[in-house]
Amino acid sequence: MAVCLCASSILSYSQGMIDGFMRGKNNVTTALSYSHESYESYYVGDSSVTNPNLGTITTNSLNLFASYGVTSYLDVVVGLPYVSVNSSQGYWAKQRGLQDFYFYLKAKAIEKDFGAIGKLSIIGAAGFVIPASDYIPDAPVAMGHHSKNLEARLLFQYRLPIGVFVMGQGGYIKRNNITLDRGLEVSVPDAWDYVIRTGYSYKKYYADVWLNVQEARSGTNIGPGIPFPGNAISYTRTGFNLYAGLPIKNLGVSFNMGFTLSGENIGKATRYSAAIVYNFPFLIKK
Amino acid sequence: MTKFNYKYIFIGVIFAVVLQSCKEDIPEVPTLPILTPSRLDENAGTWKTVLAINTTTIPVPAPQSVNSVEYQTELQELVTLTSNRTKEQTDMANFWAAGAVIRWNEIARDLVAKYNVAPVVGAPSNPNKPFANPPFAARLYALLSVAQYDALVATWKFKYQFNRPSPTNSSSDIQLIGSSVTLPSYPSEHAVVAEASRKVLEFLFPAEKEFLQTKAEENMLSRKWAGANTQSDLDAGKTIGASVATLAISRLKADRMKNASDPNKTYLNYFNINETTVPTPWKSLEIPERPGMLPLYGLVKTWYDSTSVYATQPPPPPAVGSADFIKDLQEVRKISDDRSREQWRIADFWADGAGTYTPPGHWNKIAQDLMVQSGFNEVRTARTFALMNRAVMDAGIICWYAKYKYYIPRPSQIDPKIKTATGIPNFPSYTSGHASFSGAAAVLLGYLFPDQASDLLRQADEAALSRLYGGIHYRFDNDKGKESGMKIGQLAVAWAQADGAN
Repeated sequence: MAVCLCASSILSYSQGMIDGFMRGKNNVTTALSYSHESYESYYVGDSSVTNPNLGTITTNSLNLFASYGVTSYLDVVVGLPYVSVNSSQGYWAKQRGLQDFYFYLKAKAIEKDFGAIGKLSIIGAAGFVIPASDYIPDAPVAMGHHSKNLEARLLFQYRLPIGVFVMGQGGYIKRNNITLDRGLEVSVPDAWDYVIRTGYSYKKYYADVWLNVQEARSGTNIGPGIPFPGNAISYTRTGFNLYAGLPIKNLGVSFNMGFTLSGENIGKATRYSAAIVYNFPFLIKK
Repeated sequence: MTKFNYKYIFIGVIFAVVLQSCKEDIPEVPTLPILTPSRLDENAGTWKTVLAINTTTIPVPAPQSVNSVEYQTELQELVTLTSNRTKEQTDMANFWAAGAVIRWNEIARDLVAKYNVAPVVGAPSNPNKPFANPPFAARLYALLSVAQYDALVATWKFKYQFNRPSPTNSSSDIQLIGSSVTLPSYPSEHAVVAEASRKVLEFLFPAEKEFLQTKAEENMLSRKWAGANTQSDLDAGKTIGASVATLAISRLKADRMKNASDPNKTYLNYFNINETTVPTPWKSLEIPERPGMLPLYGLVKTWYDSTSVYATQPPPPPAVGSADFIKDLQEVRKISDDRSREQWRIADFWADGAGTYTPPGHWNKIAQDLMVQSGFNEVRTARTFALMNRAVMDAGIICWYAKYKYYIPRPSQIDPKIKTATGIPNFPSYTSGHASFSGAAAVLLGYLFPDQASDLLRQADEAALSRLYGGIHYRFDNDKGKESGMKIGQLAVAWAQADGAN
């Protein structure tokens, strides 16, 4: 009958968050991004439907992101999105506010340099996600599921000296139960998450394409009275990222797109986002 | 060389998180305690029944004497069963020992939730897939409780007429699960409730026949596994349950509910709704438009005296566009513009919308919790539900009568900038169903649980306010709905004062 707008997909869309590159000791990168995501069709179970009483569901968000190299092999990554969601039809109240704060530690465990034939890095990452406001989790127009999550990932990246790389990662997202306004405790399904990505990075330029698969481990299908946070959300998405350093020192811009190829219990969303990236100069040695 | 250190520990932690978390934590299902009645109500056989049950027409045979070979064989069966109980049988015995009335009320609530799904607009009605909306549910809960209550009153009469001691009184080798309170065991109150409930629910949800039969069978068997009833206790109970359910179903067939959906919109004529009488008529806000829900539910047969029930009708609402109307409309708009998180929580807590057991179901849950705490026995539990659910349905009837008589638009129809925290129900606004149901239930329960009375009224007020916070009702819908509901609650109180159970 209705769909939960999973603005939390912002997290899985911005895979740049956990990438295969380390910041380097004392380097700080910050980004302010704006994203626009919308969908008219969504999946109930795995069948695509539309709902004339909701029309198109649109999410706009601003995301503050920072990454800091504590040592050459340990990064801290944090972010906080401000989200606004509304539907084009019907009368459901629009939602907006701070969504989920996220914090990750990212450690380079192994790096093998094969010289002229490339370099292999193996990176582990672990983090948590906590809701940053008391937003509403169980409504057709909602900002997210309001669960506290723990997440762990393992990344493999192989990079050629000319700047071409491939990255693969797998992770597990552990989501805690939540209690709904109607007094019901709901299990928010855990999920496996996989990303493969290939791209090119050279000096101040960066481009990649990616494929992301997330699979819920359990959960319900969207239906009348069924709590949205308990839905089994799975999807396959693809997209690309572009980044260019600007002539102005330490400043860069990025542009990203994401498309939903298939899914279960989630909107068939298309997402655009753009960001201004700033590398703090005062900490950069060299 | 010290490059080893914490990055490997870090990887270890990651794997620990993955391994540790490889199991979903499923929320616990709350369990109910084994019913230990605080009193037996030996005289319940004399209580006033709703459907005027005449026990002489129910063919319950006198039981075999305790010393008879037949009964001794039955007792021996219980000795064998209870000393060889499997884990599953023990669980089942414990589950049903919480009380047959409570458990069947839960089953009914689950079925209502399952069937509380609006059909596709324009689809022909399918008797196998009824839409268990709030008015439908109110009627179902009332009918189920009445059948259970009347059948249990008859059962109490037979119990004390025949006075068969419970099996554990006759054989110390039976290992009982349940309260050892000595209610005469013939006929089995569980079998009565199982059979009556199964038949009533099966009539309303024909596609659930098999499920309901399984549940009834399980309920009855559980009493043998518990060592609480022998086969003849169960057989006699089944007979009573079946006869009372038949009476209840014939009342159901004649209550005019079949006219309530009114596909030809005769209600427009009946309530004299036209451009002159109602210049701003209610309109469905759904896309595509859906005919209003059950326009003639207001004419369905009431449970309490119909003259007294219709005397509680609300006054006409303020005319659309009048100063009083605008004032209350603006209040809804203001809430919609700056709805607080707490207002949203309250709207959601009481919404009981599609896919749930509905507001009448919510009050059944509230009543259940109070009764479980107080150790109400089966017949007193059924009485409470029957008193309350009849009042709730009658309050629904008066509410629906006003809805289609006055045909007041929802706030968002007049001001589309009013956004909601809950779905907009597809029927006119005045009066609020939530306020009506809740007023009736709270007054009746407050009479039975005097120390809870003020909290129950607080809950009724909150349930009514939840609709204003949700952005789908004016304050006058709530106030007038609650008033009528409370008056109908008083009719139930008057019944309770005179039914012989005080």
